[in-house]
Amino acid sequence: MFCPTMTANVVELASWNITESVSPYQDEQLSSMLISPVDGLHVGQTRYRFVRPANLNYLPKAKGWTCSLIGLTGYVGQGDTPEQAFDELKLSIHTDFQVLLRKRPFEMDETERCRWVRLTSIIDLLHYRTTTPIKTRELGQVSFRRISRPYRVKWISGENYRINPERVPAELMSCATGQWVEAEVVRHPVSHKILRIESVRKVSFRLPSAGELISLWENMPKAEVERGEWAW
Amino acid sequence: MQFKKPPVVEAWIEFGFALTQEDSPWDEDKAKALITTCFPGYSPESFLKYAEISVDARTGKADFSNVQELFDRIRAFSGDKDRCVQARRNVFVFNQLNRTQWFGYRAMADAATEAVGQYMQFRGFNELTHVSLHYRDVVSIPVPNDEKGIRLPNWFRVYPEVPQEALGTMSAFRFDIQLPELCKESDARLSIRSLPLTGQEETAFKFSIDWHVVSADNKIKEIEAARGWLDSAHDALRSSFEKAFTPACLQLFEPLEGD
Repeated sequence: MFCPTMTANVVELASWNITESVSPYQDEQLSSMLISPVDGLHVGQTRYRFVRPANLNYLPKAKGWTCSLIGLTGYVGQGDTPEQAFDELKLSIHTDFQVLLRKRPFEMDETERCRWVRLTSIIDLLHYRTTTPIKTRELGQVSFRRISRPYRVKWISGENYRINPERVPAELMSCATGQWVEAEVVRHPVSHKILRIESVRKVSFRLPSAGELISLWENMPKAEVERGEWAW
Repeated sequence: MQFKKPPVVEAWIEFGFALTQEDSPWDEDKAKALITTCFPGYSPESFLKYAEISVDARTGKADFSNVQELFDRIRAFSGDKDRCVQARRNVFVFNQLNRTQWFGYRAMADAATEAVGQYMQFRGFNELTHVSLHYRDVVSIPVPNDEKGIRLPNWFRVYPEVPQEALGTMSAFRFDIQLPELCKESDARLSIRSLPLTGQEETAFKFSIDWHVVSADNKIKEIEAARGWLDSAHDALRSSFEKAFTPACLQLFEPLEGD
């Protein structure tokens, strides 16, 4: 009595329904379907991995194209070509993510919090935090030890870094022993170990002596604290 | 057999028309004018467009340099959102939803026949190419207390049989079959699929069951004949519906006494 049929035929038959949860009508603006699967976004060296595979939707307009990510509302890229629209979409997501990433929850207003929730429902935040290196600007002093070239940098935090010539700018190797440098340092996000030094700049600097520190402390201006009843 | 809680969530009737020599252009403005003129109680809610893109057969690369955006269809809902009309260049669809109450096939067919008459007059069509009737049922089967899941043969008379897998039985499926000889000069298909569980609905397994009956091409040319075919297709579907479920499953739809 029964015989199998092709799924595609049935999908076409059902295309006029209005109760399907995944429908081309789901979003009026996304009603033309040119879909491309994507599992993350790259902007320069920054990679955003998605929590689950998603689909990019390209929509032709009278002038150019728009590109959006299905399931992520509020972010649409526009451009003369699909590629340009995709690049614009990436940049809008990248920019907003970076702005919101640097805000503490109490610093966000209601709309920002909504955007952050939407973004982090698509972007794997844990993966981002554990794989994206930290960039810091640090002060340190170069020393030679027993060899005639820069051997280590002692940062003002007290941490020592043994120089790996393959991972530091060439300019660092021209420093004399005792030279202070301001460096842009890339550290591992979890272990905080130095991955590489991006740039260095020679600076004039010296650590104050113990006597100078005591003098500074004692000569610090005194502030009057208002007296009164504390009410909590 | 009549039911107090029929599982139908939606039904729709589709009418296809032969394009005429004097076919007027079809675009977004024309579609809006159709709704405004013929269906004043309905409000347009969405438009479907599509793009034509050429693809290099050898490399598989799409050429985006010369893309034509084309208007496909309009969708408009009645004020209470229980009904919907959809129109394409030469296709008209009438949808009826079961949001609060199901008013039955007759009410839907009467309304659809009246609505398609308006569409034909507006578009200047007078000859059908096909007509089709579609039902979508959603069956909710309570999760048993023993948490062992359910066996499809206990509820359905049409179901897929899959081999036992090493890590447990398959819990999600979709299968489509043809129903030959359901009614004369037509193509009937049945699609059954499991629906994903959501957090709030884990007290029941849900299955979506779609019934589609399409008339053979160019066999029905007039609305009166289409209505007769729809009535017979509905009766045939009704009979198949009752055969597709076990008595235990039919009880979920609460049969009315006397049937």
